[in-house]
Amino acid sequence: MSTDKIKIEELHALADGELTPGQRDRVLAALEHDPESQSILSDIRHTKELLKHAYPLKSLQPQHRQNLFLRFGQIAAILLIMLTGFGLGWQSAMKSPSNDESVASLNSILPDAKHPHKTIIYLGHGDHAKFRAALDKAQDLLSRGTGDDTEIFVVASAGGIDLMRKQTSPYQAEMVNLMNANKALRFVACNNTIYRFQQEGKPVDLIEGTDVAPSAVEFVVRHLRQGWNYVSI
Amino acid sequence: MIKTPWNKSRIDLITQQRDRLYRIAFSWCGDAMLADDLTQDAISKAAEKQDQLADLDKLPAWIFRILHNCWMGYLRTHRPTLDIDNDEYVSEHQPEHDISQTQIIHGVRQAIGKLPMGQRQAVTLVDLEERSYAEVAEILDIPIGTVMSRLNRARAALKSHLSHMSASKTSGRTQLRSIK
Repeated sequence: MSTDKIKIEELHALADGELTPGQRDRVLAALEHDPESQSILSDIRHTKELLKHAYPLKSLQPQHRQNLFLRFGQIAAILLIMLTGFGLGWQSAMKSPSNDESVASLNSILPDAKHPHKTIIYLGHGDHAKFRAALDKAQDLLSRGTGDDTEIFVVASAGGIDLMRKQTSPYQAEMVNLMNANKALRFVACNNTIYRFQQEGKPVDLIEGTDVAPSAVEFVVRHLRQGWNYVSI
Repeated sequence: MIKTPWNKSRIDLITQQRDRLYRIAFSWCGDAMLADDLTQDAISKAAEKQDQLADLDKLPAWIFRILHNCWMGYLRTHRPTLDIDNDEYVSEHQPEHDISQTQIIHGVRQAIGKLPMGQRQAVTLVDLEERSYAEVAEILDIPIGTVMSRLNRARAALKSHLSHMSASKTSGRTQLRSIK
């Protein structure tokens, strides 16, 4: 029997590969004369094996959700498109992808919308022509909407937030009138962008009636999962 | 300040963690649907915060910390209502030596589900993800000594639960070991 009694923590650390080479050699040497510790170490390793067996890396995903929600590759692609927009919005020197490219990319990855009259119009650039295009698109969709299920969200982040700032929006009066006339229309600003603007000393005073989402990415992805349409301006 | 452009390779690296995130989320909450939601939430947040990750080698620990925060956020707002008894395996009078893999899997998952959350998180991160003690301490925002003590207690409890299962339904450890 070894006089150098092995601590239980050392056995866990040995099983977990946490010991230094010197510590490991000492514990292994002591183990040769300590059948009780050998048994404990065996139990630890046995438990580790059982856990890995009970939670295999693959085959755990619930298959029946595949029809309800976007697959992750799709979500990743959406995130990439949106986040690329965010990045581009912060770097005016870089050229942004055209609308056609963005829409084409999404059309190829999105499943058929479950709610044909519910649409997210995403605006990520501080370009007045794009502001106009977003408002025109919203009005066009509202005019074509049928019934109470029509909902149009204009979601802005990065430079697109300027559409909803009193300080910068050239369309403040028109937006207020649109919201008053159409309960189905909402303007949603990204709180992360608002925070970044404030950090940079840009005040953000949103047009009355504008909603704020914690994150435009999460907001858009959540609605896409629910079957909404998506239009990138 | 110019921000780092978002790039596809980082998004790919983040989304590649999905299976591992899901496995850990499932081991923590014991509910497939909830684990899926937690995983998606964590990936979404990771993509959003990707510029906070300076060292890509630390991506696994970083993204598991995000998952941990998502899980804690869920518990704060919903309170744990998971009933692990609903997942209990119903014996079909199989011979004692004829334990199935399904029984073992259910038995282990039940045993994990009975652990206090802190112990459950520590033992799954170490045993399933093979994260180091230092990484687990960082992920769970606890001292390394606490990681070790939680691990010690978790494994002792698991041994107790699993030995019981083994004693009542199998003829011994050898059979459990042989199933892989």
